Amino acid sequence: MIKAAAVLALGAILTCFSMAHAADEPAAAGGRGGGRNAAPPPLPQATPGGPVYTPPANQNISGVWWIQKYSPKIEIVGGGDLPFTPAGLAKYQANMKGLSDGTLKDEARRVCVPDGVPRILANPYPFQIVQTAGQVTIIYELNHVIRPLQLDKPLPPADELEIFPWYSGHAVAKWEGDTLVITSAGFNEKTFVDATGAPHSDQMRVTERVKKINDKTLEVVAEVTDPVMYTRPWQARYVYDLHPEVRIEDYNCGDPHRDIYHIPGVRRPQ
Amino acid sequence: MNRYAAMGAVAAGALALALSSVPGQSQTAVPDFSGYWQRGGALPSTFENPTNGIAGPVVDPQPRDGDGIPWIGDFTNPILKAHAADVVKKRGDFIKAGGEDLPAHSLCWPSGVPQVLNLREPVQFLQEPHLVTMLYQRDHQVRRIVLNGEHSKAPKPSWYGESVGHYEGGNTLVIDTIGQNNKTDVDKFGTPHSDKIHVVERYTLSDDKRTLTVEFQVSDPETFTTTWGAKATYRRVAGPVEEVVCAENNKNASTGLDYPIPVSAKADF
Repeated sequence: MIKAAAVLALGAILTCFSMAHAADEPAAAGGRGGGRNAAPPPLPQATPGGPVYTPPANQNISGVWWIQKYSPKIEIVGGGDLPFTPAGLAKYQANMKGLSDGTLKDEARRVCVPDGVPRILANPYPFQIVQTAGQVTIIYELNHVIRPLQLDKPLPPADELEIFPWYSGHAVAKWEGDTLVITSAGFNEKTFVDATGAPHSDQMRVTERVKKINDKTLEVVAEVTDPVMYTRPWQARYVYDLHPEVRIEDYNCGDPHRDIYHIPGVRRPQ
Repeated sequence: MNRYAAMGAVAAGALALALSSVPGQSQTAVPDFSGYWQRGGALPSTFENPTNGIAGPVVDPQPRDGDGIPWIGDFTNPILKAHAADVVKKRGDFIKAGGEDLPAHSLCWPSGVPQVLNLREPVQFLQEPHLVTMLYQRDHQVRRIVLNGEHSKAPKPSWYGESVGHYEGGNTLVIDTIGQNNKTDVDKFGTPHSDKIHVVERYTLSDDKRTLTVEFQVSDPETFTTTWGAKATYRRVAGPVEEVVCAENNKNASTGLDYPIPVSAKADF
């Protein structure tokens, strides 16, 4: 009975997804649990301190952040090359060739689909972290990518991760002292690990450890595990400066966007 | 302290914090808009007449009990200035002749305000002391509302404009938006607007906390002969916001051609 209900629910979600793109209208009810016969969702618990949440001082990572430098090629902690498996290396070489001769499009730059994780962590546009009760939300200016991270919740079950893989993966987060630990899985295979085309499979899992290293500097260390493409887990580190004077802007593919060419490593495309 | 007294003390504390959370903020309790909201009511894809004031050109001119009915507006509505009426008429004629005119969100373009209220997927309000962020699940459209701020003198036109907001009466969020570009439509009937459009939305939480009603007013002296209003209703639904990437699926199944979605001819970096 429970399984049958789950299959029905998955079917309903699939219907929503298949119609939510170029079709004129989505399915009538939209998102999961929004069906006409669904029980009304529980009211949110009253937030201690009122609806406007104030994070503890050692867990306050709110604000607008901007990367210190950009590298199209991912730089792994400890240096050296990515530890490709033979399949990973073959895929990387095929991706590089395709990106170079135009047979493979970098869709994140061409039609502005999400960059995926960890590539989005390297992007040279500012992003904003918003903290509310039970949720940390990362809002990237680039491609208006959002990552709403539920705190202290489990990842969806494995079959859902497999049936509904996402560009940015399914992600949850928890605090370990002053460090926000984000766990992601359930990625589709339409993104690269970096701008040079380093690959990942749908088996990739990413653990990001997000922490302020001083009042105005944020560090993210991402650990990538993908036994299909890589022989061992590897890490990459990204450092961002706080920019309270910056407001995130609307971003629409193909429009002129803000100046990013002062960020070291960013080149104007020829 | 018994259980109920303790709850009362917590509630009083919460209220005190809400009242004092932002220096200079008007002494109004902050309504709790948390959770997820989805369009409901009789017209979940278009607007209803306002409770008070002059109705806009945006209410459906024909009965609608299915999605197959084309969105053809009433170009004779006296609210429309001549050039705007002409746009609505030409669009209607195009559709009557068999043309397909999809709304912006179906082609992965930003919707602008107030058309964004017609998106049928959920929206989440993220309330911070100085900012309210609205996350629309559909293609991850995001609006940012600066609380208790003032508009810039000449904001650079953008898709969602410049929004400032404040709370009123313990149950209402008022959002005032200017500075939008003129590339979006006001509604599904293709009613245009200029970059002078000024929209004031009032979101009011129902007493049972299950319904969010937005009454809004639109002024645009270049497009409309008067300020007009409309209404939309949201109901509380389950979350969280899911990933919905519009641009990943942009081929017209019947023609095999790509829909004209936003494309970057040259990458930014």
